[in-house]
Amino acid sequence: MIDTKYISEKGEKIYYRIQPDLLKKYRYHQAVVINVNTGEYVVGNTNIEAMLKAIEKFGEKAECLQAHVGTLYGRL
Amino acid sequence: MEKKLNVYRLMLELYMDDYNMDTYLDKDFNPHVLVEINIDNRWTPIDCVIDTGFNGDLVLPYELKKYFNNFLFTQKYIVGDGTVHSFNLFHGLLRVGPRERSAQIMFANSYFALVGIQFLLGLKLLLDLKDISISLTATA
Repeated sequence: MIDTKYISEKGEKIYYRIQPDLLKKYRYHQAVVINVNTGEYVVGNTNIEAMLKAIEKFGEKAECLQAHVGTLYGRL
Repeated sequence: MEKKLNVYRLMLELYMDDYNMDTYLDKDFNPHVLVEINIDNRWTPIDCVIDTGFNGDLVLPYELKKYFNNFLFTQKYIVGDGTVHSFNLFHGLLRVGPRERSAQIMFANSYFALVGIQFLLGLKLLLDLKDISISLTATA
């Protein structure tokens, strides 16, 4: 069962805590994947690159939020 | 695990050969592309609207969700009416010409499928609304 609300709320808190550092180290458009249970994160040039790094680092079962360095939100 | 990672790595190889994707403009001049998606272990062509206002990879109608079980991440999206929604992203495979690659798929209550900016990365999209033509090319 995917706890979307938990991932998104906990991930958002971590995102806003780490975003100042992200903006210093990385570029606005880069993708970030945050492990919401450990607070660790990975950054990639594209969503897929970040996805690969996240799976390598956290495994496939980790609860993660994806965002961009410059903004929490995607556009649809 | 390594075998699974190799599947994800398909995307990183991107596009090595020139290949023109099957595209068209509909009666309202919206751009479409035919994308082959692996659904239930079969390559299924899906007609997708090319939406450059969508910065993700692929949106499919909710009725196809039952075929995708590999949950990846959650991501928050601002939709067209300004409201914020959390979407779950799932791993899928799609085919561009002779090549397969990983995709991040999300699902929405929609009759049609969408591809966005992440899908278009590495491709050349030419949309000519003067001469009413479109092409989407994978180039080396």
